[in-house]
Amino acid sequence: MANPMTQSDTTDPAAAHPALHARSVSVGYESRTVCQGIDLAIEPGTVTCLIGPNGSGKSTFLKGCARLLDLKGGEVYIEGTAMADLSSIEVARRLAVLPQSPTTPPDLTVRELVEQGRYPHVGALRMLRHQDGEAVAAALEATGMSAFTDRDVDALSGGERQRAWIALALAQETPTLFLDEPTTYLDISYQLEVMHLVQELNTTRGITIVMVLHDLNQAAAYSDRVVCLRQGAIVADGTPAEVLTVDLLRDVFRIEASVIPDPRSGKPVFFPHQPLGAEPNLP
Amino acid sequence: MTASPLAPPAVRAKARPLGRRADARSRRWRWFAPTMLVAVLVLVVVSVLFGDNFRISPSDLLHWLTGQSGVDPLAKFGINTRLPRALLAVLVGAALAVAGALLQALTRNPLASPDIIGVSQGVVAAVLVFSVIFPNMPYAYVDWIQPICGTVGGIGTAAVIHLATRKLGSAESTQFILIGILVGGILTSLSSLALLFLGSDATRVFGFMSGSLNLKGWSDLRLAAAYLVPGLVLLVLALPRANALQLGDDVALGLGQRLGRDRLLVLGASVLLTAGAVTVVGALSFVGLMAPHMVRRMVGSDLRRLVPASALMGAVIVLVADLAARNIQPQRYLSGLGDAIGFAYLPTGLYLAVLGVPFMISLIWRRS
Repeated sequence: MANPMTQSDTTDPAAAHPALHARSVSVGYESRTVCQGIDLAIEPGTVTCLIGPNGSGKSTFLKGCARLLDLKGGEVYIEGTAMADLSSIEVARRLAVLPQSPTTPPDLTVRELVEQGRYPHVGALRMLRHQDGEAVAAALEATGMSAFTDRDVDALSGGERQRAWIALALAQETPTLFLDEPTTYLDISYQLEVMHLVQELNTTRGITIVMVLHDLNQAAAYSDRVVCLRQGAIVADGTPAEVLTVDLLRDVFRIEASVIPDPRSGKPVFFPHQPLGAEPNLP
Repeated sequence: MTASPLAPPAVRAKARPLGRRADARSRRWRWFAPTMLVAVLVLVVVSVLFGDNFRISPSDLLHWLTGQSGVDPLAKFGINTRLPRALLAVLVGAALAVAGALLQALTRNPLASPDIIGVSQGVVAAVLVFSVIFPNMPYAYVDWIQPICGTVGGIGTAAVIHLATRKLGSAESTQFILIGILVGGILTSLSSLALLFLGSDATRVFGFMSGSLNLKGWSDLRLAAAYLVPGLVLLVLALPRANALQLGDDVALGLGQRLGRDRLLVLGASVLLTAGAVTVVGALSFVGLMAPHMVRRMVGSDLRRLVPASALMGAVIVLVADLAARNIQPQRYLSGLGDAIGFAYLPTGLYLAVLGVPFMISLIWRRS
């Protein structure tokens, strides 16, 4: 159902490459290495979720792959090309990344925000002109923000604001999109709104999605593949049903839980009972 | 896909009151820009026509402008002293306001301005130290060495702040501003020390310390204009980059910016504009902080509108302050003070502070 040709400029030989390939990537901060030697290949047109407890390095790994952090070792290939061989602006034409809870300056409209997504395509100087071409209109349309273009971003609801930021990433017109905890601090209805949008971008436009999610049930419901990290290493990798198991929840997330299939979608859903080692709290 | 995710928001939009609309804002910009231009023009003309000593008739000004002969020599003298001063007010006001707008975008902090992060203090300190070391240099040399000295002081200060914050491995705006305030404090102490050494000569530089347009003429205007050429080039390069930078470091990186270089470019543009203004007229405060805030709600935070709007507002602020400095002279009415200061004009920067402080307080009140 995904159509990988709508967005990307990939030709046939490039299509043979994974959208993103991390080879023994090590990444961290200053003196601390958080992720050590991670290998991961992302197939084009898929939705992949990175999960893991706090401090597992999932966000750090995503940032490393998006060149927001310098790698301490290894290499990241994007559509078969080593990222180190590409300029930052060339990477920005292939990979858009939405950081965790970005802050918007006050008094900036949705259109002005989304226009910035054209930066890697037109270059700094031409950004002096207004960018209201097709890409910006399409990004606003796809996120349902067309009616909000002239509203201030900081006057929007949490869900609308997040959709505006996703529109900025879409205006970059990249085949791959990284999202770092796109639902954090949002009400549940907005969370689902954002997740639905992400799913739609994948199914209708074939955009490859890699995201970090905190909510395991959402990770299971909305992704083709779930990758679980602990202490900077991958401990589980597969379909949601393969990864989200009672054993994984006990070993990695340190909770006792039951996992059952969602009666509607068949995807696994977990119910937490108690932290590992605590007395069961039954009536 | 079942229900489209795009349907519910339209319903919600009706339920909530509409926010400030930007089409209203761009309409506002459409009248704001020409109105401010006219205001600048009117203020320049008023500045030329009115001064404490005598008024110049509009017909004399018109004759002078059209190059006709028979202009009253006194009027000619008046125009030649007041017009460059008014134009200089426009230039330095615009330059400082733009420097403030750029710094506020770069640091994503509404407190940032050239006089808060220490760049202005760097220029002043360098000039004062220069006066202490070479007290008896002939004016012909001072005229061109002093500006160079001031510029080096300003750029040097910015470089120190930049290196210090880079070494900390963080571009956190609070750190940037805190280090700027610290460096500014050290430089102010250095200036005070220089004043002690200058002794009775210190009265010459009081105006410079708070910023003054007194006794400025065509040569000062030419000097300020000379800074504008590289300043404008840097501004054009810096503006779109600052626009992306104000969305956050990670977003700017994701859009393909090279953070170190692009941040330096924005800082460089604002430092050059500041150094140009402060070297010529001294450390005018408040303009860089105030002007962007006065126009931000009107035209928004997109620098493509905020920067020109701030420039116009900065020009108006300094023109008004200087008009006040030349026409309101409290020392005339307060005889005690008058004896002390004589008939000298008070520095423009003093009036700027008098105008600026209440304005900033009202702005804070209205926001909260």
